[in-house]
Amino acid sequence: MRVLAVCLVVLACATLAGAQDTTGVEGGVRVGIAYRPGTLPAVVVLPARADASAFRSVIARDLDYSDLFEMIALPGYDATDMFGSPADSVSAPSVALNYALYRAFGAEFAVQFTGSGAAPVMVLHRVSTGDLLRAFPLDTAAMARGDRFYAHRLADDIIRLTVRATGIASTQLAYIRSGEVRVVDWDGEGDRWLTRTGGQALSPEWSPDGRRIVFSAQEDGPWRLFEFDLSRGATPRLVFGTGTGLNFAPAYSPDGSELVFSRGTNGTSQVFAVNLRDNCCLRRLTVGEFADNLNPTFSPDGSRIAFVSTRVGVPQVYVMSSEGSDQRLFAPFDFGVTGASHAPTWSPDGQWLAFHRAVGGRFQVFVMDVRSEQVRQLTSTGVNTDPTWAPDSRHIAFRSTRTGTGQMWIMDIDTGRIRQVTRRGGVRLPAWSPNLPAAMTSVP
Amino acid sequence: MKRSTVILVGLAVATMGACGGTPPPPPPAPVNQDSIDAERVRLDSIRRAEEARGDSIRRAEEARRDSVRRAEEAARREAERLRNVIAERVYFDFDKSEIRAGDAEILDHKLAILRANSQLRIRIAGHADERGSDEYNLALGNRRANAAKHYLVSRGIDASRVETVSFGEERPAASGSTEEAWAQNRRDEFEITAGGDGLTAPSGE
Repeated sequence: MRVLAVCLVVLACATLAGAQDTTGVEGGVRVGIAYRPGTLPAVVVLPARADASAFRSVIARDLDYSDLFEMIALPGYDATDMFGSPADSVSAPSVALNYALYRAFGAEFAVQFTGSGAAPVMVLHRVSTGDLLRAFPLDTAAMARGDRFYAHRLADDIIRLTVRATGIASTQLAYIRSGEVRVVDWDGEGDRWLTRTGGQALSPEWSPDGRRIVFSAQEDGPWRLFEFDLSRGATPRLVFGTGTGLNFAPAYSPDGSELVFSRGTNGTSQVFAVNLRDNCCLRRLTVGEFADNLNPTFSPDGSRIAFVSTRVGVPQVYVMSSEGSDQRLFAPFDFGVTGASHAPTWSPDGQWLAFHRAVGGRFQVFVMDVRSEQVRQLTSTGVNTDPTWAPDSRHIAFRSTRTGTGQMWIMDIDTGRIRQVTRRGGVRLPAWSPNLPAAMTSVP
Repeated sequence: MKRSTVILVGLAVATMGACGGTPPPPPPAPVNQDSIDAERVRLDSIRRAEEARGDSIRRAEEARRDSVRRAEEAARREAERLRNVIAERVYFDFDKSEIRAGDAEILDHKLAILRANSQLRIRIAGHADERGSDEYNLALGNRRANAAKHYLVSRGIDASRVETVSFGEERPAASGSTEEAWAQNRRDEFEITAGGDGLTAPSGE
């Protein structure tokens, strides 16, 4: 029915193009993403009056990028009087919707912009049952100053109320370009500097509350860890115990009170932990005279740490308790066949571990089901590295050279749909934020 | 030259003194041309002797300066040579941190200089090519720097004299993504951090 409604463009084309990693098989590699079109609820985002149209566009794009809906696109919505104009009438703002019409187009949900000039309202409808789910009075001041995160948060509200899922619209990604930490909104907007060290920064990571970013940096040889408090905008603070030597690849514990990281010892690198709350208690979690142990990442329940070890020669992914005991191989590999594996990162729901692994001399992003320890390859075009999880545990961002330059891309691991976030090259080591509190996202 | 002028003036005065006051001047005394010539010869010889003496002092001074300059130049060149020996890089195989057999000799030369100059301190910087992950390459560079340090320390150099750092893949020596560039980038660099002036060559060299 949706397809037959000729004036509607279901974004199947974009989806097919985006799913190239599922179909592009290189070097005899089989990829295991199953895309099932037509199973998502369809949503129509109705036209808004001129002063809210940019705001409407942000919300529509957020719903699209969530990969939770099929978007019913209106053909050039300025000319869509057939759907009824947005209600500009001051006297009788209407929230009535021709449910039968949108049901005919296959819509499950509709987002409508209505209300009076001074009191605009966004209304969320369940078209299939003819219910008004929620009316959101809109903050005209936030819309007027172009507060994109105001729109992002409303998009996440819509997602929660409709499909009862965690939206990821109110997130940002930190990454490295030209030796500095930058942040960009998840939809590619608002790309900006976070640090101006003039040195060399690597490995940014967000604290679980989204208020701090830790990174490693060097100017004259030693790699130190610094924590940047976003709510204060202060200069980065040196992390206790990391003033000398080689300290890199940090990760927060789930409650944000502890940091695990890699530290150069006399000959190798090992996993250490430090207490951030009390600025104390540097302790060592791994030993190894001949092997590096690095790149720790906490399980979300805090009980385990996955990390990279070179104990069999080629770096592979291992796991241990948060105290360093019970170390064992985590992501299975064939000795002498499987390539080096790097940069593991645990999904926020604990179900997945993403990492990158060399396939035919090129890195590709993989994901492992933590329970079954089954590994599948997610990418095959270009070189793809350093995956990082969105708060929904369904999207990953990673660095890809598929266009010829190092850019940040996002993939929905359920459908394989991908999109490009950045347009300037030189992107390294992306790190996805949690859903950000309002204080963290005021317009800079 | 000054002295000979004075003598000539003296001669003139003596000649005038012989003329007296008012009486008409007597016919000039016959000039003894021989004595004037003899005086001239004497003054010339004095002048030549003075000049010769000055020249010889100058030559001696120049010779002394030359020899100092040559010695300094030689010392400078020697120190430069020793510093170059310290700075000579060692290279590594892909994803390896073992010192190659052929590179042990490079480290042996550094070892001798470190032994002969107890004030000398160095920093070893380990580097990687771009092929590992960004973070893994920091660990790899650390292993490479420490491999060279271990070589020196295990042969008697105090560990406190050898500092290590890792730059991972952050400071490539050669750009590009070719095997040639990668081979150039998998390296240890050696830098003098203290005591690099007036290096003494190891005995037996």
